[in-house]
Amino acid sequence: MTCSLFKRLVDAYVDSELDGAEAMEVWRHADHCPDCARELARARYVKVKMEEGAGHGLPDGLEDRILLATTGSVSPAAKPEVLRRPVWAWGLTAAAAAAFAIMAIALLRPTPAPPPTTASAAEDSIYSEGFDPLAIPIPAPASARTASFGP
Amino acid sequence: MWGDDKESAAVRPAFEEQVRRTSRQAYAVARRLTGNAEEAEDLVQESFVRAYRFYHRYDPNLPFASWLFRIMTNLHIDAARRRSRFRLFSLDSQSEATGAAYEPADPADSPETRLLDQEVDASLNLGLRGMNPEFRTALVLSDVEGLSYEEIAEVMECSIGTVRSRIHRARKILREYLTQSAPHLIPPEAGR
Repeated sequence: MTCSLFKRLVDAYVDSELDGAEAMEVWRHADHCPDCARELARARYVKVKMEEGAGHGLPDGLEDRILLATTGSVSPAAKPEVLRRPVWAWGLTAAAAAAFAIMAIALLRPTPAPPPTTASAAEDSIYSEGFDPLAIPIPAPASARTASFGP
Repeated sequence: MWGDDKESAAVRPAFEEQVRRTSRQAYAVARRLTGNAEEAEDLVQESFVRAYRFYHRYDPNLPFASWLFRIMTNLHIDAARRRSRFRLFSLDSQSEATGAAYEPADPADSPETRLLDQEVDASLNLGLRGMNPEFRTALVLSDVEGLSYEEIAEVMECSIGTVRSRIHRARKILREYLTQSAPHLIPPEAGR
């Protein structure tokens, strides 16, 4: 066996994926070739470290979150804090709802009808055709209002 | 997705049992595929959501884990292709600066204060992140999940020869990466 062929087969050898005859050839070559023996040791080392480093436990609550996202079930042992939305999330939701409600009220509230008046020509001009409804109405003088609502 | 009908009621307990039996394996694979806990959790959860949605297509005569891994690896490879941060490269392409087939990440990415095993683990994750997602997936299914080449070929829907080639290339990349970027992590008998 050549070193080139050895290097092509070494990973399948490490994974026990070669048949008996091929595996024997690889083993014999490594036994006589120091460079390829090091290559074999490196292949084994990488495989072992890949296996060792994968021993992470399942994060807390992941299984419950999966069940909730799929079948919608929650195990009795599930910690409420794992499934519950954080407090700040509820606070944000409430604040957004309040802001929306205030905006909706402000937009939907009817513009106050102009007070019936017989007041001066200056006040009449405010409600004339050229009046901008978005402009803040100028309040009528107190004396005029009293006069208009009086008996 | 299943509705609230009789079929759904019959499927739920079976699927929940599958989740309990395979979620740990799935997370171990996802950790190596993604290289970090947050992305791994997202990948696992999304894989199970898809598995549940298409559970009516699952053949109960086959291992559920293999079917789940197929979903997971497709999701991972698709995501890796979409994201630009997964730098794809050709094994045949040579780095102009070093002449190496693959330029290692900055060794400073591995904090010196880490313990040796943590450093090896971090280096492996960096090496994995830099490679083609098909190579990475084949290697992780072999080394983390312990699947045979035949099983990996079924999961990845390719030939056994392709699996052998992908694993060989992936492990070669990791060997070169560790040798170039972190030679102090290689034990003496495997050193240059």
